[in-house]
Amino acid sequence: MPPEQLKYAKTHEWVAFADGVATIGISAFAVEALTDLVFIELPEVGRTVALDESFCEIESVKAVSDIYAPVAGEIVAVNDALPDALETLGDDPYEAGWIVKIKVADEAPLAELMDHPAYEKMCAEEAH
Amino acid sequence: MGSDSDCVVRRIQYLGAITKSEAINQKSSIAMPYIYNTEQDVQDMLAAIGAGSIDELLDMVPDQLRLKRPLDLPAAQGEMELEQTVHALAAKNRHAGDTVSFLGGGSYDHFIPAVVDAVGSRGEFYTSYTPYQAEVAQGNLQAMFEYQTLITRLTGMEVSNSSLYDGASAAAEAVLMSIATTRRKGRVVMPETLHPEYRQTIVTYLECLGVDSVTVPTPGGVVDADELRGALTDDTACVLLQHPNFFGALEDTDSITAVTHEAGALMIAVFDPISLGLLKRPGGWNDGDGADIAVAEGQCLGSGMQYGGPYLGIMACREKLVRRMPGRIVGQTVDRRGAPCYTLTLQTREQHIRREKATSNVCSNQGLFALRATVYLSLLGPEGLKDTASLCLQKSHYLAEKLCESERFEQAFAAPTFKEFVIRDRENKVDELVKTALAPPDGDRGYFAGVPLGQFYPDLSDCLLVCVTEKRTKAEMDAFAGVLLGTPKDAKSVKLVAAD
Repeated sequence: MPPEQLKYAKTHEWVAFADGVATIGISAFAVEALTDLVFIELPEVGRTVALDESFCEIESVKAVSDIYAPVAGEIVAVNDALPDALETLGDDPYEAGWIVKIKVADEAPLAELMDHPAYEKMCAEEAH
Repeated sequence: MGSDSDCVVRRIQYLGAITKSEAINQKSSIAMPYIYNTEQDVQDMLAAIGAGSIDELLDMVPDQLRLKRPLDLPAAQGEMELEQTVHALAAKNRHAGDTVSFLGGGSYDHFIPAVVDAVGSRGEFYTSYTPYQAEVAQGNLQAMFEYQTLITRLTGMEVSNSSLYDGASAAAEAVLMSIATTRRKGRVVMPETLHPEYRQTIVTYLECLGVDSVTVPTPGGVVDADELRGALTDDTACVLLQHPNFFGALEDTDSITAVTHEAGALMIAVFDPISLGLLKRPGGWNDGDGADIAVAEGQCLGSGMQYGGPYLGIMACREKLVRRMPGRIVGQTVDRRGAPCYTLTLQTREQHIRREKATSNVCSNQGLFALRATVYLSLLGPEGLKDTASLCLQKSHYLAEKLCESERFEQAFAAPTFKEFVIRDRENKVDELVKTALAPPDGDRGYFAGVPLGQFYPDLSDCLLVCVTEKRTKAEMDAFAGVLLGTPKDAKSVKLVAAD
C-alpha cells in the first residue's frame, strides 16, 4: 500500500487495516534512523499482544529497538523472510517489508493513529 | 625535612637501581609515593586545602567517634621478619598439596600438567586487563576463540561464550536466558540433586524477578522423571539437571530431557567437564534432542582449587539462543589483507547496546582460567580426557567397594556413579570420621575425607560425599580406608609410597 494511505504510530510503526486484520511494519524514516540492521527477533504466530506492548525487536549496530503493538490482538502471521533479508525493511518498507499481521481485538485505538501528513510533520520535527 | 627528602631519593634509587643524582632529578616527578606520605607532604596538602592540621581537617567527625589513640597494631617489621611471619601463618593451612584429598562437591583435585602454568603465567596473558581490543589483543582473542571451539566440541552444543565467572553463576545466567527466551515467568524447576549452592545462587538471582524456584525431592539420589513431570507447568521456563549429579550419580538424561521438552521448557545441563571423556555430551541427550543450554564449573580443567575461587564458568547453548547468551563471544573474521583474525562479535547482546534490555549484566569473562582450560584440553586431547575420566571412574568405584566391604559403611544410593559417591556411616559419626582422617593416630599425613552432607541435607547427616580423582593411588585409598575403618595398619605401607 502506498505510504500516503497508511496510518502511523508515534513510535514509527505503520498500520494497514483491512477485514479485521492490521498489517504492521516500520516506516522508512525509522529504518533510516536505525542505521545498519543486523537482526530481527520476530514474535510467534498465535501470541496475543496488548496495545503498546513490545512484540518484536530490531537490532542495529548502534541500538536495539522495540516495535510496539499499535493495536491489541492475536498475531496471525509474521514475515518469515525478513530475518534473512533485513535489507527488505529499507528497500520496500511498506510492501515486502511488512513485519506482522494482527487480528484486531478492538478497533478503537486505530482512530488514535496519525495519517500520513501528520506523521511526516512529526518526523520533520524529530529530525531537527 | 631534609631527611624526608633524602628518604624519597634513597627509595627512588633503590627501586630504580640508578645513581643518586638521577634519583634527585626524578624525585620531583613522583606525585604519589608508594610509601607513606612524608610529614612535608602532609603539611603541603593541608596548606593546599587550607587546613591547619589533621585534627582540624577531621573536626566535623563528632568527638565521641574519634579514636584518639594509635591503632592497635604490632610494630612495623622489616621485609625479612614479615616474610617469616607470613610463612608461619601460611603453614597453619591444610591443603591438597600436603593432605590426601577426597573432597569433591564442585571443586576437584585433578592433576594440572606443568605446561598449563607455563603458558598461563606468561605476562601477555597473566597481566592483561580486559584484553578484548582487536587491534592489540589478537593473541588473547585467539585463545578465547580456541576455548569456545573446545567447549562446543566437548559439549556437543553449537555455541560457547568465552566463559563466565563460575559454575553457580553460569547456571543462574542460564536460568535468566531461559526465562527471556521462553517468556515464561512462572517457575524454574531444580531437582534436589543439583548442587545446593547452585540452587542458593539461583534463588538469589530469582528473588527480585518474581519467578518461583521449585525444588523436586530426590529421595533415591536421582531425579524421578514422573515426579519431575508433576512439577512442570505451562509457565515453567526451564529444568536444571546436573549429571553426574551432586551425589556423583548418573541421571536418566534421556527421559528427563523428553519430559522437559514435552512441557515446552528449556533443558539446562549442568555437567562435569571431565566426565565428558566417558559420558554422552549434553548436546546428544535423548538421541540428539539435547540440552538447550549446558553450563559447568571449569575449575577441574587445569585450575587449582584455590580456596573456592576464582573459578571458570562454562556456558554453551543452541545457536538459536545465541542472542540471549550473556558474556563475551569471540568470532573469527579476516582483516583487510584477507588474513584470519579475531574480534568480539554479536555485541548487540551486551549492555552497551541493549542497555536495560540485555539479558545479563555480565560484561567480562574469566580469561585466565579459560586460557588454562584451553591449554589443559589441548594437551589431553580426546583420548587423554577419556583416560582421565576412566581413571576417576575406576578408582572411585574401587574405593566405594572397599569401604562398603565393612559393616560400618554402605552406599546411600543405588544409582551408578562417576567419580563421587555417597557413603552412609551406620554409626552416624561423620564429623568424627572427618576429624580422625585429618589427623590419623599413627602420624600419617592425613586425609580430607569428603564433604559431610548434613550441612546441605538434614536427612543425610550420617552421609559423606567422597570423591576420587585420577591423582589418588591405590596405596592412598587403601590407607584411607584403613583409617576410616579403624584398621590403620595399611597406612604404614602408604607412607613409604608417599615418601617416594
